[in-house]
Amino acid sequence: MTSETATLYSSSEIEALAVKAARGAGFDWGMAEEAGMAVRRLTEAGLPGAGLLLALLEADRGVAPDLASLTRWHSPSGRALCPLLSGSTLSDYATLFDGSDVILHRLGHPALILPFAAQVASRLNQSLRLVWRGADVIVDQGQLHPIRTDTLLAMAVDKVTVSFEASGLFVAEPRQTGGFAPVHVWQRLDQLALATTVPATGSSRANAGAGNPDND
Amino acid sequence: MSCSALGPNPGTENFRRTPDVVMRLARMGSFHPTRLSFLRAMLRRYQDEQWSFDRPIWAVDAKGVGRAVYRAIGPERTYSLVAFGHDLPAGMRSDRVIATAWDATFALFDGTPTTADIDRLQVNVPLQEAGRLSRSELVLSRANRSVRLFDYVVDRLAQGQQLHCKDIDPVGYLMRTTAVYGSGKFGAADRASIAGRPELSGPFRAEMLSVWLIRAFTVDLVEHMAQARGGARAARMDRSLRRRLGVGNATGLGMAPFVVRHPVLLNNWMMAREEALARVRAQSSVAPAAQAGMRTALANAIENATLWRSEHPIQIKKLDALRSDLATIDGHLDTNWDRAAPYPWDSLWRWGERFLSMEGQEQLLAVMLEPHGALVDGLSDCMDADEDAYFAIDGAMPLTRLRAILDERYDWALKVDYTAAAAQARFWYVSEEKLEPRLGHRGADAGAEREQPLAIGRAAALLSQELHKWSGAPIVAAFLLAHPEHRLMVRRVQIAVRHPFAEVQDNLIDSGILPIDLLRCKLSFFGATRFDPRSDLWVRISLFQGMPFPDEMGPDDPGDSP
Repeated sequence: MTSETATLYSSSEIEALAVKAARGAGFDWGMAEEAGMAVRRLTEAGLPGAGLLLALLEADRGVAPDLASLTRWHSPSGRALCPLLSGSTLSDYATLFDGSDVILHRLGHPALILPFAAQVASRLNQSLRLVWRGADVIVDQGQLHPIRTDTLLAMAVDKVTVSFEASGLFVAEPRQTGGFAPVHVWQRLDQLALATTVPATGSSRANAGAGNPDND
Repeated sequence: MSCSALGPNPGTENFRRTPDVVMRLARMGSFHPTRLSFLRAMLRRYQDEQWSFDRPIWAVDAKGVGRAVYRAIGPERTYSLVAFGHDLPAGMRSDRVIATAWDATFALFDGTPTTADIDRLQVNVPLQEAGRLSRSELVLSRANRSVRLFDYVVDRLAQGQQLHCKDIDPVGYLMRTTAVYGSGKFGAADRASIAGRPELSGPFRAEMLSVWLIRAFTVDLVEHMAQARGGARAARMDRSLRRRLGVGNATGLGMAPFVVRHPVLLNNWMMAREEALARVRAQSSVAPAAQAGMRTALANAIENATLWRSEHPIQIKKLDALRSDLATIDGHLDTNWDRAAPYPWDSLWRWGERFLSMEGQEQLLAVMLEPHGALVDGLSDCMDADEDAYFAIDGAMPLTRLRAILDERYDWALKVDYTAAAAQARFWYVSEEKLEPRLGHRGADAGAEREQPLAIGRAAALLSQELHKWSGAPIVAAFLLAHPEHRLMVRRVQIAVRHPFAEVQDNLIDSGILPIDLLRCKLSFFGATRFDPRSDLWVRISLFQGMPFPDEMGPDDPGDSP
């Protein structure tokens, strides 16, 4: 994804569109909010958050993890784990982990889980390290620090290991806002977002506001 | 809320109103601006920091077409309103979001723009939603001329004639804005990127600055056009009359969902306002200056209520009640207010609760705050919010605790029978055609399956029902893994723990919902006056009416002379 075909969007534009697209594609509103947060943070970190979300929404979105134990997450079927459902679950359980590695088996679009790991890291005031074959990322003080990126944007991976480490390797940098998204990705997300809107009818136009002349 | 000005103030505890009293639509729909309102907090800051203002560019022709730049120069940074005047055929003038052309369009630029910046903006700003801004812009806006007043004022001034209050007051503005977009819209700077600047940390600060500079532009424009038409005989507007002009604003349903979507922010606005009232009520005496200040504020409120016009039946009734209440307050202060009572302000407030309508009570609140700047103004620093800090859900919370919060904070929602048709009569949706929020009739209008998540009361009730059926692990994380459909509401319930004023405690999809109540609440925090509903769905208001112009900012405290 090169910047030649991409537009610079503000963080609020990116988040708002991701929420609507996720909702339009069938996620519940609360999960759609998580998608918005995730895409915004990835884009702010210079990663193709919008493209990752689109890839997820246009393919099999995956399933919620089965937590056989707090540290071993599996798919209850042959399908990949959904990174949004898995990521928000990771965030929800933040204070319940005991420091042991958490292993997610068969995770779809693993990069989408990184912003949730960043939330956990902030919450615990720790670093989290996420490793899968060909990728290694440290999240610290709310920021993503990719160490190895060969398969960062993989569609699915067999195993992701989340380990907890002491914070302080990195100096916190001021938050960057905004980021690039390819025009064709944006347009496609926009189409998905349209499913949250209602086509106009005569009565909906009448419900829109001015019932009397507004030009005075 | 984490704000030092709101810190422990145990003396006010017994004087605070509770959320079940305050967070009701009928009351929120009766709010008046106060000295904590955003536009007044902004002017106070400019005064305290001795900001200066100038107009480095004015290139406008006799028809009002051209460009102008107004600068606000602070101790650390400068902000510039870039204004474009257009020649709009009358038939194209519409306040609705569906409009595609306007009399004037504006951007607030971060710094002093170069000619190249202005050229770039001239390509984009007149297109509004169809254009594109950059991170150097903070706000995008547009305005239309008042057909009733604009040409009339130009004509009079061109003939060398002065205007009269009776000409100006029925309208109160030369132009009205029909949208003021900030916070990263259309590529502009994100709120997060500027919220750390002290001069922009208040809510909607950049938007307020834009509107205030637009007001100066509107008067400069009529004087310029009058000069072009009348030459040497043209007059300038009398400066005391000029003060009576604000900027009009037409706003509709688009604004209503905001206060529901931003519970932490709503809480902080409300808590600051309620704490201010409690601080005044907790005073044990009435200083002569405070009494005189309240008298002045009451006189201003009476004048405002006299000039305030509306043709909407509901607002006409409320205005009648307000005028009658103001006369009652006036009489009470003279004859019956016991200033020797142990807590005289509290006794005044309690009297008001017994004898005034909600319009009158909320006006009394504003009047009581007015002479107490030293006591309450610091609270304006507590009205922003770090919403990201409250986004993550605490999954370790026991479900017994979640249920307890629901029962305590959402009892207003749980007691509603949502199977009754009237309790779900309406639904909020976004129109595909205009991407604007609308309110449909369930059953009659299409699109209920695409409802926006604004029915908070019903969502709380559904969550409560599901929790009672739940037999899994007794923590929030396990429940949400099985029930992601309740995630939005669980987030709100957890926010409500520390934010007692986060929720509007009424059913927002009830058959009797009046969206204008939500608008009035939000607009009062802006500092809007002359609230004039044009239907149940949209309103006209005025901003900055009676406030100083940039060239009048000087040693007098503008915040004390609304």
